Amino acid sequence: MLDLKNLYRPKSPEEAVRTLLETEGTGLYVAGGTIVVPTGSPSLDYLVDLTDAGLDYVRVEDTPDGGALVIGAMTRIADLATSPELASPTLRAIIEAAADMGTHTTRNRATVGGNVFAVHFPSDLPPAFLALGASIRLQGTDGPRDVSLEDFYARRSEVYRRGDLIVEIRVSVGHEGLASAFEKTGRTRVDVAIVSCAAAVAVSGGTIEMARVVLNGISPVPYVAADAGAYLAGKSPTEDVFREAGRLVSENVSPRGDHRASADYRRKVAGVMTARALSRAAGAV
Amino acid sequence: MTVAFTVNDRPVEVDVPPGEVLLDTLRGLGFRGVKDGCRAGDCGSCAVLLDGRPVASCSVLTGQAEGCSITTIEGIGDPAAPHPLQKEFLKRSAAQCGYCMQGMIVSAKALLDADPHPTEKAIRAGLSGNLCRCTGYVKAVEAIKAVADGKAGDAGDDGDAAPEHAGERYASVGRSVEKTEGLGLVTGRARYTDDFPVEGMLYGRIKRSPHAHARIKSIDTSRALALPGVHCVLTHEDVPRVPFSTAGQNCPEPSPFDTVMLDRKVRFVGDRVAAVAAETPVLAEKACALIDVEYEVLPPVLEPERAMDEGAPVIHDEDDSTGIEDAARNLAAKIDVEVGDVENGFTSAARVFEHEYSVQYIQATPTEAHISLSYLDEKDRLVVITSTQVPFHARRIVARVNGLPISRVRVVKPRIGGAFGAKQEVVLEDICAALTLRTRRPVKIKLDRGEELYASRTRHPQVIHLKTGVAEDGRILARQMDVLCNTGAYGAHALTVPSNTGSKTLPLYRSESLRYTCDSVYTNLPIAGAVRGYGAAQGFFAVDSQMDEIAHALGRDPVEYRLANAIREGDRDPIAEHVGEGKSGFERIIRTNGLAECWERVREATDWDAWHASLTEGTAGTPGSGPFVRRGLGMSLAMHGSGIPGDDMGAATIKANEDGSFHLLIGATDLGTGSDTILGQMAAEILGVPPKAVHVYSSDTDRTPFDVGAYASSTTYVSGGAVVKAAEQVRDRLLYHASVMMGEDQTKLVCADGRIAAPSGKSVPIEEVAHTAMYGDEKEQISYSASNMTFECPPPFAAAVADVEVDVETGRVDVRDFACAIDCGFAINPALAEGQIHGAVSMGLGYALTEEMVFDKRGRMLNANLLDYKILTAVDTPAIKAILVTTDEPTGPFGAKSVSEIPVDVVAPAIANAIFAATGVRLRELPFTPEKVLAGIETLGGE
Repeated sequence: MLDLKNLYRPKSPEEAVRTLLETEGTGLYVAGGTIVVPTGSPSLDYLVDLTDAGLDYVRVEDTPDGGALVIGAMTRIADLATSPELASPTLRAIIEAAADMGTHTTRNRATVGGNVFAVHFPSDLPPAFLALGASIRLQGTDGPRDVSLEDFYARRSEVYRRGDLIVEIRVSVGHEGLASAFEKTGRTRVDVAIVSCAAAVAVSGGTIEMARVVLNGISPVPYVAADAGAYLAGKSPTEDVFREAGRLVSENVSPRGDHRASADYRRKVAGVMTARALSRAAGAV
Repeated sequence: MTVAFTVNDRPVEVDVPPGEVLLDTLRGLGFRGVKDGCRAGDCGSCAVLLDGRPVASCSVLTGQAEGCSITTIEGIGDPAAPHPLQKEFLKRSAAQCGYCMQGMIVSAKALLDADPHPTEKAIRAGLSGNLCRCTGYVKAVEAIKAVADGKAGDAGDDGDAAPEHAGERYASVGRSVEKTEGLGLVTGRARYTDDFPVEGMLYGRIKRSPHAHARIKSIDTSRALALPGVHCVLTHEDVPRVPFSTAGQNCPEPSPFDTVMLDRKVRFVGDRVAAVAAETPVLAEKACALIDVEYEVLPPVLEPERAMDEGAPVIHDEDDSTGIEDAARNLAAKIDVEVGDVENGFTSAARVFEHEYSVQYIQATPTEAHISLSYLDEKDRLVVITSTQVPFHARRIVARVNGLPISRVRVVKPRIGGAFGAKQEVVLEDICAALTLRTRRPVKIKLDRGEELYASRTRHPQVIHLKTGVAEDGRILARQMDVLCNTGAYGAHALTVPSNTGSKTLPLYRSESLRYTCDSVYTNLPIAGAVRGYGAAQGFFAVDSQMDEIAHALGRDPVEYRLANAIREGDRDPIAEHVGEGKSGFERIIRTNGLAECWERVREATDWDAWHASLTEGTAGTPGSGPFVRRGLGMSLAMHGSGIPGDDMGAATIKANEDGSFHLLIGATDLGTGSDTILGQMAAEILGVPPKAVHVYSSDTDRTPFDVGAYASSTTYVSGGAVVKAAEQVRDRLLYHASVMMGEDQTKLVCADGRIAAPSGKSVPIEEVAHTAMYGDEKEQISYSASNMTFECPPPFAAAVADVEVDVETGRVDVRDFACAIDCGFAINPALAEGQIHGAVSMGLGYALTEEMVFDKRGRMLNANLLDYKILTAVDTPAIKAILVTTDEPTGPFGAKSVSEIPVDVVAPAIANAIFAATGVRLRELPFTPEKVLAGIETLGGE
């Protein structure tokens, strides 16, 4: 139960960072609030609400490498799932992850930034973004800077400083022929993923030019299956090859069991999700 | 902080604490249709539209809504001008308890605003955040579809049809009339316990044990009491020590008296340690944290299999408990009944089948958690408004444990947000009352969702060993069921639930001999109690799984084998007279049995025949909707009971008003099931008036006559009998007055269609008769009470088909179709009876597939929230088909039997049999999680 002394509503990312850092006591940013509001500790003194910070947008920007999809951190999951900017085979994993995330009431409140930031449970967007090589733009006291999402998860203590605010997620869309898909399995259709997997595959001239496989639910942060990617490069995009990639993933991951599923089950379905995501991604090229 | 927004188009400015959530602000503003269900964004009972989109208002800070436009259920329509969705939900009786319905209607409104013609899939997706426990979502989805398709008003009761049954033509019973309280449910005006504003109210909270088993060495409440705004802290030192059973059952109670209000010992994680009353919920929580307790931690018993071991820790080592079978061995209750000679039967059997089945801890998960509000009225009497199934038992128990005479206690059940057995208990009323008596202030305690899960009541986990001996021709010669039943830390239903595991299930298939044994043991885990299905749901999983196994082993068709061996009309239930409610029972002769028709109807309603025709010899299942999906169909049968013979009693009072309307006062407890409505229909039928002329008031110990309450599938059958008797007496007085008015022979008069008519053709409106009775020469308040008790317990019968797809790579089971037919005698209100089937089936699906309380090695529940305790959403639930099969039960009111519990019984075995049909995997342990299914598939593949 929250017992806040203050709730702030800054009008810009800069003001948000300043407020968070300059206010006395313990504070956090709050985006959609779907996690912080119900589970926040009574010892929190203040929250910095980002509703008015101007971060609710989805747009495609021209960049030297062929363009980037830019998603404001306060974009609601429901809006992301229906954004016309995402209607391409390349970005399909993002749409699929967003469309099936949680319940309709959660999708109407939860935000892209919140989903990327929180690692309370295996969230669905991070694997999709990682498979597409996304970066995040962080607003700090010295202004904005871009950090690869992979680094953000793998080396958070090095790249993320107290008070940093995720302002947007950036996904390069210039890779011709790159297609993606997202798969997850839970105890029911509306569930936190036991294991999810996003795959991005580029096929050129009958061989896999590049593939990235990212899973969630098998480690505390999303898992980039580099070995599967290395195996796939140069192979033919066949079911057998995708199954073999799945087998490699199952063999190489060491998930932990919890009340949702055992380690052994996660390991098995990690391979299944991998093969299915790859297969659908490749089929969509 | 000050926040401005609009609510239902009206500008509002509020000054709220910065941490306040929108749910609380809106309820504080009087929008009490917004319901508090889980406070974690998982259930959707608090859904409102925020700028046109449904959101969980428990997870939005009020300050985040600055400048927004908010629409609550109250803004969608009101009782004078309901929205088309509200009208359609009402017409189809889509709302049962109604607690989740306000949120569902809000979601439906947003859905249709965005997409006026959604597919069924889109409708279900648009309700994915609205958990419902009563309805299986069926009628809500149909109502939304009807509104979208411009077909609103097509279903429900059109007022024209005159149902005929067994040669009688009825006017009120047999019709799907709207629920008497329905308008309030769909417009958010219905009042639940949380909706009664009481001045000067304090918030109660219970400090709970962090240990599974411990002795309290000392408690220091001084820091808590020093907190300004904390009015009272009660510990075991402050309250009377009166051993009792929290179960609301008959008197004398069949269960052990092994519980006291607050004890020196704690017996599970979540057990009561102390109780606090403070001025705000936050203060109450803080006060609990400031109570310093020193525990002597004891080794716990966490496995029922180890409970009776030599040297196992003794959970109930107190010396003042009574009625425990053998406290030193942690044995709460024991059953051993034999009919015929099973040993002889097994010896002469051609084949003997022996299997072990196990079932898990689940919780009924009503959308409204347990809540009680108590206060002292102007006569200094204790009033308890509470979400209970058993107001009269609650009154008796609250009075006894608090040392009050029964006459000083009034218990009222307002509308209630689901119960399903979990509220057949005094979970809060005793301690809430104690806080009020100590502070002399109104006190409200509501459980949070976690407490509801681990600290209210649960379904008994059991290990069921089933042994069946069959003759060469398949006849069953002997059947023995041995159950190890886990009652948890207290024995609230330690004897009676497992009694039903044997007595409700073993009679279904004829056997020359039967034996039923059960050890019901204590463990240091949550308290088991009543849950819809009450022991039978556990037992039928074993019985009807094994019947499938036996049929396959004998090379018989599973359906033909079952029906050939099933109990028939005229049969005597072999076990009923030996196992009653904690004592011996009564003879039971089967007078009506629609089992064969139930089977035919579910066969026709599903792809049973076509799917079997498409099977390839030697291969399990058929291809499903994806490359790694196998499809299979399974079936099951069940029987149940209608009330507890010789135990249950319901009473009704009917009084006539001078305008020809009536008041029906009943102790019976409507949990959302519609019992107020159907009991009103019964009275209307006999009085010859429309159902709307009967005003129903129920479940108030000061103002209504006694009823045992809503449990054991008794209300229609037992309480209905009382309504019929009272109505007949009132009708006879009306006939008398009419005979005087018309100068006709009273014995020849008929009461129907609002008039009393003589064979001569003369007639007089009932309204006039009622007026004359009251104001004419004789001046009589026509009013009669009647009570009903019976030694009969006619079983309803059930058949079900489950059509499932199994993903053989992940083990996930999707239920494509589920049909359930129930012989409930004559359905007094078909739409409400169907609703009972929908809800019970959906609960059964959760039991079969997803629901399970998971504990760590120290007895702490790991999934005490609705994100991880998986009840099925609209997206996970198929369009459940409910089929009513009519028989004419001679002992029931209008030929009625029960309907509310039996549909749970058929679900788990039907799903188990369907998974077997799809994959060849036989699962004997609930729930069938993807993990267990996959393990089964791998084991099979490895063989």
